[in-house]
Amino acid sequence: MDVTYKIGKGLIVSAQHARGTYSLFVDAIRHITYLKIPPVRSVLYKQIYFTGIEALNKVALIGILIGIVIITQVANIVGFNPVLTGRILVWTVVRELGPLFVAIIVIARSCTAIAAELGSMKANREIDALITMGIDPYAYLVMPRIIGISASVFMLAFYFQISAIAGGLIVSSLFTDILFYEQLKGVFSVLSIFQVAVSLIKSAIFGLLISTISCYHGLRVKSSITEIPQVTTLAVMQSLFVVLIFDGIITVVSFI
Amino acid sequence: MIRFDDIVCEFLEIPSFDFKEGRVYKVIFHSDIEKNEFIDLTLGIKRPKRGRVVLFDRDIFNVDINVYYDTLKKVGVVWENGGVISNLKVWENIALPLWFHYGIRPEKIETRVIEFYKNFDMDAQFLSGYMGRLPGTLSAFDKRIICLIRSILMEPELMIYDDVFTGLKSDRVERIREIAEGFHRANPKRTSIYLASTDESLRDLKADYNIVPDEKGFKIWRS
Repeated sequence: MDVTYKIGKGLIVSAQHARGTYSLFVDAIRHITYLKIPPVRSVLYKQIYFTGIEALNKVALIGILIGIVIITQVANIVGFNPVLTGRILVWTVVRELGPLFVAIIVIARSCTAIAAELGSMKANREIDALITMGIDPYAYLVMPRIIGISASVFMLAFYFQISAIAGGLIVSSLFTDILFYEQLKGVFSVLSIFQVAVSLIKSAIFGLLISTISCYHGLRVKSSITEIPQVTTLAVMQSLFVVLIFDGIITVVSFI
Repeated sequence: MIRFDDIVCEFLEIPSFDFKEGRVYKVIFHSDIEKNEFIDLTLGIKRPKRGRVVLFDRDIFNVDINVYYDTLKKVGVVWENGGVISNLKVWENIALPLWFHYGIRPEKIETRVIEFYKNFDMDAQFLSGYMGRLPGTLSAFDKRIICLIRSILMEPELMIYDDVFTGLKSDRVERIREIAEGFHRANPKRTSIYLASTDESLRDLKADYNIVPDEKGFKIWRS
């Protein structure tokens, strides 16, 4: 009885969060025309800077390391075969790891930051102050963050994939007689526009999910700053969970 | 200008009351909770359990969202805690509403801002460093001044001062009062409402009407 009650309650709360997140997303997107207003654009640029540009070097480093690990493991199992290693690199990095790793990095860096920032603004009545200035918080705070993070995740995923493939192939060419160019040809022979498109669409969807969930939980804070760590933790956990669910759905729909 | 019709909210009950244009009101609440609820009701942030609030002839809880935000452009609020946006620098905080609503770039209002700060013995040289600071390091007085100048630049018809004198030294209280009174007189239609949760901070303020909420709604007397 107790277990059933807990599961039921959990499901109801999850459904409420899902509905709230969806409603926030729709409200935010309705305000997209506000991007023509300079201060709103300024928030967008700041978000792209903090989420996208500041994370570039970390994403590149992680991408290179992941590429090296994959190539080393593949070579260890099947030996150095430019077509096969290229194929496995594309399958793992482009189809799966690129969008997923970038989403995890962005959740760790920006999801927490946004939920905490908006939560603190809500608790300190800064959002009420914005409203009294006649500024719609959805237009000024939420929409540019959603667009900024989505654009950043999209861009970072592309960057991650290039770094991982380059890292893997450079290491591979250092330890074998196969030229870097030959291996690159192997990669391109298996890489299709469809795969790249699915990967980038997946990244953009992850960005939308992460940013909307972060904003939703940040704005759930009522009046106390003690709520901020709670909503931040929830934002991170839900973002991870939802990203993994959507990753599975998109992969199944696209490649099976 | 503001009309409360038979309001029942969580902490306040206001049977029926009009704030008329061009007047100065002093409202002393019993607690911060009542005072904050009054602000939230007036600005359409907290919906009452019953009744309606009419702000500039608009039922503030039943208007289109664009009309709502348009109405609020006519209202200036100087918050007790300053109401500044923590991730914007002083300069951006001051310029935000003008920049957002009218596309007036911050550089265009520089002279007026510098002139305003002279009231508080801050010259252009000091301000060049001060304007780039984030509000987290500023005092309550500094934040209220940012909020005051930000509101004044928007030329609102209704000014709400939320416990604006509390905790300030007498010379600073005097300066802010002079500026607020001068701003009120500059537009004969402008209404100024001073709110406080104790009568101490508003004791020396000249107002047309004094108001204290009681069981029957508002107890009002003329100064």
